[in-house]
Formats: sequence, C-alpha cells, structure tokens
Amino acid sequence: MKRFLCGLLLSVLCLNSMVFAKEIPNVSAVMTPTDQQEYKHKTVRKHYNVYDLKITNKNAKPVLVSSDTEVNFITDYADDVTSDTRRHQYRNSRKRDMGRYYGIALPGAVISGVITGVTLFIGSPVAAAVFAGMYLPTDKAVRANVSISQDLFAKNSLPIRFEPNKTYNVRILVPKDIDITEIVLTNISYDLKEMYELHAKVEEL
Amino acid sequence: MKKFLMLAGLLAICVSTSGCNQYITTEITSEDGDVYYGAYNRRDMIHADVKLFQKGTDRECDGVIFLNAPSRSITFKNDRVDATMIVGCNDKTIIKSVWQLKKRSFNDGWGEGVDQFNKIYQFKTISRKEFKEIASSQKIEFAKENESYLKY
Repeated sequence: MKRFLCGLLLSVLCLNSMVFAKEIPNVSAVMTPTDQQEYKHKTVRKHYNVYDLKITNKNAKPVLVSSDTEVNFITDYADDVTSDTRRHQYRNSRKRDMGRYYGIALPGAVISGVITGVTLFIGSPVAAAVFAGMYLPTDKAVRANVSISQDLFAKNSLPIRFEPNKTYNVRILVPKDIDITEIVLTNISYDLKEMYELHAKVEEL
Repeated sequence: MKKFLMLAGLLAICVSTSGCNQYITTEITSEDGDVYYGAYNRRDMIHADVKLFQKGTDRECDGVIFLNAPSRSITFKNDRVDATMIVGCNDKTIIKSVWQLKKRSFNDGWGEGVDQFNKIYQFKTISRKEFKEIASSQKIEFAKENESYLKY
C-alpha cells in the first residue's frame, strides 16, 4: 500500500512537472481585440484577427523569453493551435508585390499612346489612362506594403525581456479561421532554467 | 571552342550565385573574448535568413533580419536604414539587434544587439575572404521553415 501511494505521488509529481508547466506568478496579461479604426491594413485583416496583448511584470526581477517560447491559442472546440512563425506572418501579411510591374507602366503608356495616336489620333488620353491604370495601383500596393512592414516592426515583436514594473504592448496576429478564448506563452522564465507559462484571457471590448 | 565558352560561362554563373549574400562577425567586445561569425541570405525585398556561430563552441543561432523601410524609389538607395535581426540560439537565448544596412543591397553595415541578460554584441559585415579566416567550416546551411531555433 505504502509503495503504491509513493509511486502514485511520485508519478503525479513527475507528471506535474513534465506536462503541466507552472504559471508564472505576478505577471498579468490581458488580450483585447484591436478595433478597425486603429489597425486598418486590409491585407493583414484578410488572413488574421488582430489582438493587443498587454503584459505587466510585477515581479522585482525581469522575466525572460527564451528561444523555445511559443505562442499558443486555446479554443473552446478544437485542440490548441500554435501561432504562425514571424516569417510566415510576414509573408501572409503582404499585399501582392506589384513593384515588379513598375517598369511596365511608363513604356506601356508610351507604346500604346504612340500606336493609337498614329492610327486613331487619340494617343495622349489612352496613354494617360494606361499610366493611371498601371502606375497608381502599383504605387499604392508598394506603399501599403511599406507601412505594413513598418507596423510589424514597431509593434509585432515580443520583447525578449520584461523589465520589472513595466507594461509591454504586443500585437498578436491570430489566424482568421479560429475563435480563441485564451493565449498561452510557453517557456518563459527568470533564469532560462525553470520554465513557466503565461496565460492571458481574451476580453471583449 | 564554343562548347568550352559555354561551359566557362555556366561555371561563372554557378560560382557567382553560390555562397551567401553577406558574411557577418562580431567585434571582440570587452565583456568576453567570444567571437561570433555567420552569414545571411536574402529571401526577398525585405527579409533575410541568418545563421550565427560562436567560435570554438557548439553554440549556434538562427533567425531572420527584417529591413525596416523597404524602398523602390530610384533615389536614396544607398541610404542606410534600420533592420532588426532576431536570432534564437540552441542554449535558449535570443539575440535581438538593430542593424544599419543599405536599402538597395541589404548589406554593408553594422549593428548592435543584446540578449536576455543584457549582454551586448557588436556586429559588422565582412568580406568572404575575412569570413574564411574566421570560420571553421566554409559551408553554411540555413534552417528550414519549421526547424529554426527561434520558435516564434
């Protein structure tokens, strides 16, 4: 009986430390959806729901993120989903790269202008139409890509170290097709040795 | 003769397209005498894959560099802009650094980074010749999509 109890206790302890990572104390985290006004990039919204994660470290010592840290999404109806990697998010969140067609706009306009100008005497309006139709959308796409990537730079990366008594805002991109209730940051710690988890509930606005 | 010329041409193309875009190293900082070396390979207008090794140890890191202000304008292409490099290492540390790189060519610059313990790393770009002097193995293999040390 004693042996059995000991075994049970030991296995519970082992399992506990193996499977259920402890939650990190004194760190509060809240996740709220970012509203449409604040984040307007349609290309990103097509693939992702955008959330703001606010993390405050109330410990006296800094909390460290490790390279094993993953962002997991918890849903009500399905298994946990691991977040896309930065690389993937970045690729998905770009408008189609139209920059390569820049060079077609001007010569295209000139050629079509000349041809129709010679034959039908309406060269310049056609050329103007071709130019406006090709150059302007290309330009818009390139500008949108630049502002998306600058935004990803400014807000989207998780800090590697949460200083004590400081609040950090991180933008989290959640795939469109899942409906999340909670987010979990795994493998965060004080010294990169004993690993903890950080849970953040999603609050509706 | 024609065949030989074609072969020589093909060989020249192979040689010029092999290898990495840019080789990097750390300057020896006063904190410790460790030297890091590595390279990055550009993937598109804005991002590149990075690989970093610590000389004399098993520590290695990989991750990505993002250019902050991509540009297709014809002017100011030689201006330097911020680029963020995030690499995760096999000893669980992350190094996050800010580079100053040329917009057009994505190379020829310098950077400074910190890890979680606020240790400072000074990076700079080097030529292939200098890289050969530092590196123990000449070939660098970049991590595949899901095998990176950097999980997120």
